[in-house]
Amino acid sequence: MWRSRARLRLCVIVVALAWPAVPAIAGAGVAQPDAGTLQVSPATVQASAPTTLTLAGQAAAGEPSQSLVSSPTVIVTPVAVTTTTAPPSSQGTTTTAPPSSQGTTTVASPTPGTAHSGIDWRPILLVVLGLVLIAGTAGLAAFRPLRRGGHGTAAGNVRAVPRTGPPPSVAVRDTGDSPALTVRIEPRAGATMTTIEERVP
Amino acid sequence: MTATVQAGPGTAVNLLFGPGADAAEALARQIKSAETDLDRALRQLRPATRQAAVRETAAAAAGLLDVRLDGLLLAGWRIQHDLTGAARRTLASPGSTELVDLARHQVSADQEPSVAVMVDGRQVATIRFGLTVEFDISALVAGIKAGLLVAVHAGSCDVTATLAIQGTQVQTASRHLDLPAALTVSPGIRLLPAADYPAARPPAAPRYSERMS
Repeated sequence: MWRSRARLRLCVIVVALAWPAVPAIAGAGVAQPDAGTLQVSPATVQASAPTTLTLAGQAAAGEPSQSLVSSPTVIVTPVAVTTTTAPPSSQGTTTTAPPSSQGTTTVASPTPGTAHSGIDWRPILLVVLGLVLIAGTAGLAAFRPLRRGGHGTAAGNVRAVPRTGPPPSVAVRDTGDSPALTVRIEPRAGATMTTIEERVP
Repeated sequence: MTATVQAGPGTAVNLLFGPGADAAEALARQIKSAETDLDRALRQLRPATRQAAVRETAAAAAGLLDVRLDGLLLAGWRIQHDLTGAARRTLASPGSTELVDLARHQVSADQEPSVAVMVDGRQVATIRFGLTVEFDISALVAGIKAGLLVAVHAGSCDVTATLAIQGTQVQTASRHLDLPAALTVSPGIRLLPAADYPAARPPAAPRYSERMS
């Protein structure tokens, strides 16, 4: 399907990037003969902004259709979000009419109001990152007292109060067969005998 | 396995964890392993504070379990009718002595102390302990005079202490005691309520030599 489209010698690649920097176009074999026209054969295009890359070839009138190897490479640095309308297979071999058509590549900067203009992801990313940071901070603040204890509870505020409880219950149970035997020892005062002896000198 | 000791019975906590052991440390381990609400209650505290709270709780529990075993045994004998009968008779007959050869009997004592854990003045947990001590006494020959237990001439005792935390038994220990060696009763231990004994005589007047000195 994409090969048939390539026969129309029109390939539109929309690269949407999050960094609105000036599109950097560099690479070996790149020549800019005049303003707005970039000739790449084969081309290595580096873009760091939402860029619409239009590849168009013009076949010479009356010449038979030939195979044209057109392999433009779009390098996005830094890579954040890339949206390409054409699948990677579109960068492969395409059939076109004259060989001269492979030399013309037009790179156009996005213009406001274009239907497929690149979405500026930077503020969205910033907002998302901010929300993530806020949520993380709130989560840490919420779970920190549960995990590590709050600062308001110090060691000195913990007391262990002993309570003796009810008095101990004591029970005695006879387990032997023989009854208790009691021996009573009762001293009794006996009569006191006093002897008085007189001595005659 | 029971061991025979010739020394005094000591306390319940010594019987449970050994005389040389750190009872508070052992109790802290028992408290941590027991299913109490202490861990949940202290979850909001810092780990160091939590450990300190457990240590304090264990130390308080060790103090509560530091119950003298001879006191529990004597508490049982104070309600033993043969011994109390002999005490009343000897109290009524001054100078008389009775030797009571008691039948084999058991004395069991139950105690339920607890430790309340307060955080910022608010009670967050209560650790309930259960201490049960059972004495199995045989061949006891006791000497009683003037209502007092004045001698233990013979007798042996197997004592078993059991500790429970939150109703779950966590520790038990048994020992065999030789009662004459284990009990010190001199100069005499009351077997009857204090009101049954005659009031103490007023202190004697100083002697002549003391007055003149």
